[in-house]
Amino acid sequence: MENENYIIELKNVSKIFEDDTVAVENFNFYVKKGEFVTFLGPSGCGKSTTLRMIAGFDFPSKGEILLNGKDISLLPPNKRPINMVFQKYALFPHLDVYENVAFGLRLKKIPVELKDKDGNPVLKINYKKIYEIKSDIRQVKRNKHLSNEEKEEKLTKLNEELNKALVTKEQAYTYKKLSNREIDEKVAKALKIVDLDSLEERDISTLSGGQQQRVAIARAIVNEPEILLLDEPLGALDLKMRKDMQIELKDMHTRLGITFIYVTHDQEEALTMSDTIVVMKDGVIQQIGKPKDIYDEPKNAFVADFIGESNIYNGTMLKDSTVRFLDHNFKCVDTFPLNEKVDVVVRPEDADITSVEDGMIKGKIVTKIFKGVNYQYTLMVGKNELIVKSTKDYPLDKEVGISIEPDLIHIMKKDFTTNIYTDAYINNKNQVVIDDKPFDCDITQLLPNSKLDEEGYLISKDGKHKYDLKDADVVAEVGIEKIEIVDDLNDPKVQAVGEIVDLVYKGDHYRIIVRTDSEEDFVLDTPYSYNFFDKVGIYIKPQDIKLRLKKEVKEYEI
Amino acid sequence: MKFRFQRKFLAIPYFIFLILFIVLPILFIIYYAFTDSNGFFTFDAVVDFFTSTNKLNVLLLSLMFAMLNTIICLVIGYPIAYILSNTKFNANAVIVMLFVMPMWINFVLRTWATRDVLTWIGLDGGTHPYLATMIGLIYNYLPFVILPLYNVMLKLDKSQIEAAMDLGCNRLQVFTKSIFPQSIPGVVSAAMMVFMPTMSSYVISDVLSEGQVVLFGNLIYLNFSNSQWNYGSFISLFMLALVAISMLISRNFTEKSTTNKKESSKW
Repeated sequence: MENENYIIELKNVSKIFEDDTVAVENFNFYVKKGEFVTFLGPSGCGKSTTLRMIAGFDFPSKGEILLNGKDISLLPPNKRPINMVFQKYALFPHLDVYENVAFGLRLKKIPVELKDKDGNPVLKINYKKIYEIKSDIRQVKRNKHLSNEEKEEKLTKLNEELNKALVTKEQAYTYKKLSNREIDEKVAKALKIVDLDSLEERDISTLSGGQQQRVAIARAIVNEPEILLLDEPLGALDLKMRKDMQIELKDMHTRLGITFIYVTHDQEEALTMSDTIVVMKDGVIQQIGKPKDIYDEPKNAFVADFIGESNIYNGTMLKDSTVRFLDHNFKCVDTFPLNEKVDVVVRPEDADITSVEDGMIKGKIVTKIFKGVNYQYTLMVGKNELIVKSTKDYPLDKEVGISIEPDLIHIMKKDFTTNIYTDAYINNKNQVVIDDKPFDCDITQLLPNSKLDEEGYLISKDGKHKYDLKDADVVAEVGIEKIEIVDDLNDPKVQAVGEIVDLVYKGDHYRIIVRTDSEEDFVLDTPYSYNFFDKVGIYIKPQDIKLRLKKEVKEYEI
Repeated sequence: MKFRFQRKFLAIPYFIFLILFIVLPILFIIYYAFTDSNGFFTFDAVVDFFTSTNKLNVLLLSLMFAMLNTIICLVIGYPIAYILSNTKFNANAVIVMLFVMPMWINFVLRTWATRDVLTWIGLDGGTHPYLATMIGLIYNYLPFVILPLYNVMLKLDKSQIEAAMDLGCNRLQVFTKSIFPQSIPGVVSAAMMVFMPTMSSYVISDVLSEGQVVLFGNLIYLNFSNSQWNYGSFISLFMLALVAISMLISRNFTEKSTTNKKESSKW
């Protein structure tokens, strides 16, 4: 579908690196002119790679990137009307503030239509264009990720263009540079926008982080790009500064009217600034939507967990508009097939603490944290935790009731490719504890290229940083095909024991849900047949447990 | 009185060393430069140096050799250092080691070996004294260019290259506008390490040109070996002045271009 409002379109874009890792998979996405779009996801989810493809530092292995309807997939960055603010600013230390900002302007060439003496336009064969098409053809031929048909199709298209360019004469241009006065004016304007008008002469190294950040933004916007890309630009600033810059960036976006594409792993930043958020995981888009929609109606457990704090439970649909979780039947507004296993999400602010008699379920307050505007309580409901935010002050260890409005219970189709355990943590033996049971795992995956020293601390790639991950909260994911079922409960490799509570025959295998005594579910596939309520053991290979830290790894540095 | 050890006593051995081997010799050189063989004060050596076309020719030739050597070493060394700073080509810095390794062999030995190799390929010092000397100088000083440049380039932020491209630079402009200006401190310290040592080098020219090319170092050596201590001392003093001047110039240069990258020239 062509739509003139779209400034940039990504069609079936995939990026596969030379070592065959897939960074981005089949990305389809459109950005409207003037929009503030945020790519949000944990590190390694492909958000930066996508941004780099839009900027032109990486070329897509498959698919097309269209700018105003024109394919720019293979255009080098200097030919794109797109500018980027880099994560670590990447300012030029050999130039002062003024020259840094003027850098792009000094390179800019303004095309002027070439006219002959009589004022008629001069027509010439465009050799530059021919050269560019030829280099595109070479690139397509070298691309090993395209299938032969796709290659053929692209090559015929390019060859057609080439033949056309070889014979048609086009308007010829000369190029002139911006005068010093024009540059002066533009730089002054850009520095004014970022509030740095008095620092023109300063050396980059004498600026604070926040000021460098502003120079980086000024350097990008001074070129009046059609799209401004921002790659986690606030990551290096302290909290207060970050909050101020968020508001300023949003304000700048409104004033300049430029399309912003922003990359971050900070969900709060994304919610504060964006018009549209794209939540990504493992190179795949999880959900696209307005901040409020994503927060209120997350599409799956991953999005719910990543955007804001959530209580996520395994639930079962009993009948229309009734769901069972936390050992209670709740009214809800979503309809799902009977007995469907679902993920249930309850936001901490959506559960109300009441007296024991008025509540739907009972719970006991085990922790209480004062958060400024409200208190955050952790309640034990049976063996499950429930996080609740409330402005009222309750004492610890108090038995309370909890009620949840039907329309605040978010029910999602269960993502049955992986088991996700959101309240796992690392114990002192570097095992991951899921449901009170320790599982051996490979915790070096939490930091790329890291290793463990003999005392069990995590050492970074360059050997400079050391991390103690004991008690670190993690999200553990295990593919359903990775969980082994062990019949002999005395087998030493058994890591957890549970009852089979669900069993579905799927044609050539059974999908089984093993529920432990503490109500944690392990979903797995097995070719063998079992009976309901069989007691079985569970075993997961260490390398099959995928971990993700809930906080930044640097918080655990020692 | 009781002896109390103070931290500044630790400096005493160095102080003695400094006086015995640096300050006293310089004083001696100054003394000899401005006296005659009987120990009377005179400007003979100064006048002799600046009136002898022979000696001024040697100075000129040395400057030419030093300049040419510096330029050629930079032209060869810069791209090598740039390529080596890319970890893709130089995993674990093994290749840098290969370039630096010859420096571990005594350079007199190396020079004699160079002479044999050059003779073997038909460039013996007897027939091609200037070419042989030049090749020997380049071979000897190339590592001194590569190392400081390599160190500066390792510290270059790769995202700055991307930033330059993003702001409209083509490949050539990325180099001229971003990479090269930032590597100037490395270029200056590399030039320093080649220029003055080349002027004063004497083994290389002596061995490779079989005594036909006389550089500043050879001149000093010749004067001393012919017992012309006063002339030799003045030429040495002149050499010392040249070193001081070039150091001052280069220091100004690095300070002006970047203040924050000054450490990078140390290696």
